[in-house]
Amino acid sequence: MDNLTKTYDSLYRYCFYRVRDPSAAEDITQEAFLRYFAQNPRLGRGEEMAYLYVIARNLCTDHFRRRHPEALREDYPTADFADESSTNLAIREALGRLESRQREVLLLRYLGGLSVNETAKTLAVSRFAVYRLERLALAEMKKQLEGAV
Amino acid sequence: MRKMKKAVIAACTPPSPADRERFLAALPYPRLGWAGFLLAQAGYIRKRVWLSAAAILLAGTGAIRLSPAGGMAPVWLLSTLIPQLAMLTAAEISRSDVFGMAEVESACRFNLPCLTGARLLVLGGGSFAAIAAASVLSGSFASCGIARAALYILAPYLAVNGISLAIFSRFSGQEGSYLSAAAALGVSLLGATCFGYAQALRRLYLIALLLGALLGAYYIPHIWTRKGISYAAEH
Repeated sequence: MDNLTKTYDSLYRYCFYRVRDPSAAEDITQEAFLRYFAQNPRLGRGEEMAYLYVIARNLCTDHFRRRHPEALREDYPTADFADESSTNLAIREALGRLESRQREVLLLRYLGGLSVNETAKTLAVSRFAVYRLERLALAEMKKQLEGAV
Repeated sequence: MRKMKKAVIAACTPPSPADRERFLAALPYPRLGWAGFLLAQAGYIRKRVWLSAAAILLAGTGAIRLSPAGGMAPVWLLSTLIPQLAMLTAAEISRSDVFGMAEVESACRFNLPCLTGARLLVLGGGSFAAIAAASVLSGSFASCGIARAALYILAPYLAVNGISLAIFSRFSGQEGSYLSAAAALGVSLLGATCFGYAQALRRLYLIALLLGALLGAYYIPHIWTRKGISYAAEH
């Protein structure tokens, strides 16, 4: 059950930073779990994590397709606004300004906790492309953060 | 890069999911059953162990069938080969110790006693089936009856396993592997030597083997307590 909770949290975190809405992120997380287990009962053996993220990613895309007319928030809401530091704010802004593929790689690798292989499978790209996108994303973020300071 | 990764993770803390506990409690999660667990553990046993076991038994069976010697000869020949099979089993079971991974395994999802038990069951079951097949193919049962043949064939297997487990509980790493191989070779040579001598010596040999097997039964819990549970208790 601990593994499942950990997977749930990682997936929720990934979905949250894709859709920027806690309740929508949780709905998508749960829908992804249900669809995953309906088709593939092997999560407990640590297999095909990428498949779970592919489902979640597609659900996030569907969410945007039938999006409500309200505009996206400029920043991601967080757990506690009082504890918010300017660095965290700058990092999230920099993350939001990244090119979509680069942002996706960082979300999957860092927030989802996926390996390079799993990220490559989720995005249907090569391992080399994942390494390249990750490097570019980090360089871009560093540039933006230095500019912000 | 590592610094940036930590910073991104720290900066991206979403609000806690509100419905997680209820959802996970109600999720029809397909739990891993005993059969699935054994099957998964069988996958972790190296292919070379199965291949070596098959090679030993096929070579033995072939040699017996081609050999003109009759009487108890097939049983003794098989009996001298079996210790090598037992050595493979014991070495595979103690693999985590040879590679210094016992403490890591004891901290994983399935602890070391659980994994060792499952692998013992898979390896023992596999070996038993292979020995039975080799005994039938080599005509060992026909030469002296099932009970007697089983005693002569299984005693060295159990004895080498027992001696090897006792060795692995006292010696770590490669040293244990070498000693276990020496024990297997010793039992094989002893069996081959005893075959040419009087019935009384053969009985003595069998009694020694059964004592070796009992020694192993005594040491089975020791490999767990020494490597797994005691580590968990200390840390």
